[in-house]
Amino acid sequence: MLNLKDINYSYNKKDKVLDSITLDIHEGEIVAIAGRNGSGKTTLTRIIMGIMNADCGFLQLDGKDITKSIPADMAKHIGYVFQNPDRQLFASSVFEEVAYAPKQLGFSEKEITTSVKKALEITGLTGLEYNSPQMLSRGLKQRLSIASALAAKPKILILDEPTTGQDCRERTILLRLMRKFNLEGMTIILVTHDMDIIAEHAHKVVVLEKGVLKFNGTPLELFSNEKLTVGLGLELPEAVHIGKEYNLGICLTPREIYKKLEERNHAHV
Amino acid sequence: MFNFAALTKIILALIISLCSILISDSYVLFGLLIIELIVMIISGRTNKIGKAVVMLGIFSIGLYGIQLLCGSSTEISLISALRMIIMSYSVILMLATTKTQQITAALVKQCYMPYSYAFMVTAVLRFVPDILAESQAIREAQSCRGYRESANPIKRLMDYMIIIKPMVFRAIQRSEHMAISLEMRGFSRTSQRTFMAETKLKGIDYSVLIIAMLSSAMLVSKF
Amino acid sequence: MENKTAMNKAKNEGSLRWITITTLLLAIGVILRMISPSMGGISLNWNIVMYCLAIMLCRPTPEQGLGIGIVAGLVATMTSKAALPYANLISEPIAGYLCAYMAYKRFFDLKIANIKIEPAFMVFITTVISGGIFVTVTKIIINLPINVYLYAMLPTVGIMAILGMIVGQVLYKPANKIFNLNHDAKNKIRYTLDHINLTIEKGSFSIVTGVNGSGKTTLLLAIAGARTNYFGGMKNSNLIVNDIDIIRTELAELNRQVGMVMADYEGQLVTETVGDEIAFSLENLGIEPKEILKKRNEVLNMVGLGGLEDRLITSLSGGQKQRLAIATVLAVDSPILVLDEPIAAIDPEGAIEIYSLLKELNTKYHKTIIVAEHDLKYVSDCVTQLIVLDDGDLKYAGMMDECLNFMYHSKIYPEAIPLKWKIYLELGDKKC
Repeated sequence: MLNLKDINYSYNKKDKVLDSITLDIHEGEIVAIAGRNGSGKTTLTRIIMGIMNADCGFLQLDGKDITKSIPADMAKHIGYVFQNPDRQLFASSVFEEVAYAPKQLGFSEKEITTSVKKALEITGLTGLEYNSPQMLSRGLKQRLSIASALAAKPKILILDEPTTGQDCRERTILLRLMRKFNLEGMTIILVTHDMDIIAEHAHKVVVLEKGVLKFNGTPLELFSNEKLTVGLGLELPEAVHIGKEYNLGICLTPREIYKKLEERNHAHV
Repeated sequence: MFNFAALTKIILALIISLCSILISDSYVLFGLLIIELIVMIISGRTNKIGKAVVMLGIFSIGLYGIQLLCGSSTEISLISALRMIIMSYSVILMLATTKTQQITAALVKQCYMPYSYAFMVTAVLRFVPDILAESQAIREAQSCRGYRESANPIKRLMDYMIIIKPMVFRAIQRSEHMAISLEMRGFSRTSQRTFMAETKLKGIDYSVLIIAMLSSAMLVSKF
Repeated sequence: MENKTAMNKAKNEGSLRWITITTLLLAIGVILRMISPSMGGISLNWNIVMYCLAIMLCRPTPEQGLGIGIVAGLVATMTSKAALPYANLISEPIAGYLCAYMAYKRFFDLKIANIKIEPAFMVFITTVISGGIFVTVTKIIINLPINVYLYAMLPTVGIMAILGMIVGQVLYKPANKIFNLNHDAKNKIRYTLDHINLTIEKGSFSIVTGVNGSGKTTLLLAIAGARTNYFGGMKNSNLIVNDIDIIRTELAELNRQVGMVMADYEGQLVTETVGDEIAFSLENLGIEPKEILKKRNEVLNMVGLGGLEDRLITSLSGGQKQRLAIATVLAVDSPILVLDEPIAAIDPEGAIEIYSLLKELNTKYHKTIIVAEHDLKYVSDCVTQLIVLDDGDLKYAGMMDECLNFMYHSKIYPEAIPLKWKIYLELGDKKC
């Protein structure tokens, strides 16, 4: 669905931020982009969205060349949720905030109302239409940002560190939402530092180091290779540590741990 | 070379501006302008202030033109243009060669300005880059939701209103945290505040000031 | 009329908010002047709109208004490459004084068709006064022809005043709502803390956790000696930190004993460079410059920012800014260090650095550390007490194992329990 070929980008034509990135993202996948600070993760998503344009290389969406696009063109196909909700909410009411994208994209009055309603419903914000975005709690603000991106009915959702600064309860809610969208067909590109999220939710993980694509595969392939993971400057997920501690083999998620523990208990009985 | 105290530089800027007001001989004014330009070049700050200098130069030429159009004589137009440029260059020079902390320390210690005012000036300058980044981030977020910049200037002004509101609201929320933090750091209990920045006038400051005052008195009385 | 002045007095008592709101709004004004579109060079005077807004929000005394005007004038002189920079230093203080006077006396507190039109009047009149003085001074000093003055400059002031009036009117009402969110007499949302029976030993490392809104920030602010207007007090509580009775100790003393790094650490950094920021805390206490230099080097090295005195604060990363905020607290030798969600916006590497710094401060320098945190995996090896709050109530305080056990069984914020413990607890459950 989304194809990147030899994407290169440097700041001021000097410091290379992205070096020949080639990558394919298929429909319905949750793709995590990981890497240390400064590895180029956010730059990559910004280029996909058209906020920045690559110095050279090709970018294709469903066969169409989008290498030189601008964000306003991409808004119909890709929704971008920035890391800091305070830097992307600007309307006077929740309703206006979510209606902004459909309005800018020329939806009809009726379409605007339905898509706003649906977006608020999916993100659990129904009833807050007339509240001011600035007065919401941080968790609700982030959900509002997601609703605002969804209202344009994009096929791809880019989430930049969506769980930063959230408490654990909100984090669980956000991840559950993400899972739900994906099950309904949304392709998700997730930039994250959190290895636990990658292990539990991502279908594919892409690791960047100093702008170079160092790994492109499944979380299992990555985390079952401790040397590779640590070599890329990443930590192993909690579940993997615990799996090792209890001698259960490679476990990526808490659920796998419980399952294997139960199996072991039954075996002993 | 420019290690004068901030107060000295402020006074020098004021002296030269005052001279430009009191003197009505365009040749002398030209002379003052040349002095300023020489100082600018020696100061080595030309890349920082170059653009402003050129813009103001163009503006003053424009001013000269407007004066002529409105029927004033060449002499008067020239004087008014020169006056404007000497005064604005004096301020630019003073700002370019002095650190903000030194200026505010001088204003508080030597000009007896209340400390809270000086603090506000440095704090404004500190927050400008951060708030600018925030405004650009909001603009970006809007583009990602389909916003396109309009050619219509009125529409563009209305579009700017959309960014201003969240910036103002953020500022209001942040002002509460900032006030709490300042209170905790003892800001309002300043009975005896000290200053790191050096403000004492040294021998060279006094000599420069005396020379400047004497020469300007001479020039003003002559012209 | 008396009611109004009483209203104003209540707002101003001991509050530094007029300083902070003016600072931030003037900064916005500077930026708007930079990026705002203009038609034929004519645009709004954002400087005036912003300080007018600040004055209307905080209703300072006329003397404070004069100060605001002086600051606005200085900022305008320093940031705009104007034709006559000095004119701002005359026009803004006068306009600021008059604006504050009008706001203080609430001259224009009127309604037309049920809409308060005070903002429109205030911005219009202030712009006319400021702009009028500015162009008149410019005309006199530069000796501009009278035609230009009458037919170009004055009308420009008029247009600026009208545009500014519209902006001020649109911005004021929502801005006022947010400004007074917690101060409104009718809308008092007061945060009370209940059953805070807690002792924090000297040299301990305590973590406070709970969902957002459970009262962590309120508790930390209370310990640090900050009483916001919306703090409803502590009921049924006994809070001792480092042998200090927090509830009964004077705020000034608490400020001396406790240093706090707030969640919004950007708002705490108020000067241009790293060195200036540390000096700021010490200058406030009247410490001599020589001592300040010594202390500055010491604390910068302690937090790993040694040698960066001249770096601009805006050029620092989030982790470095955090460490700078910690350094400013260390500089005043507070024995108690309180942090509100220090790693919320920081990557794992930065988080590990911050926590190893905190551990060092605790073990090597014997500081008492209290941190509000959600991500408990970073602290399991150094925490001496885990405290969990729920809805303003202290639910449990004790060793980490016991507390996590409590959280699991009473279902108070169980989401925060790290996986290792969760599994251990679940296994324990199944066995029973």
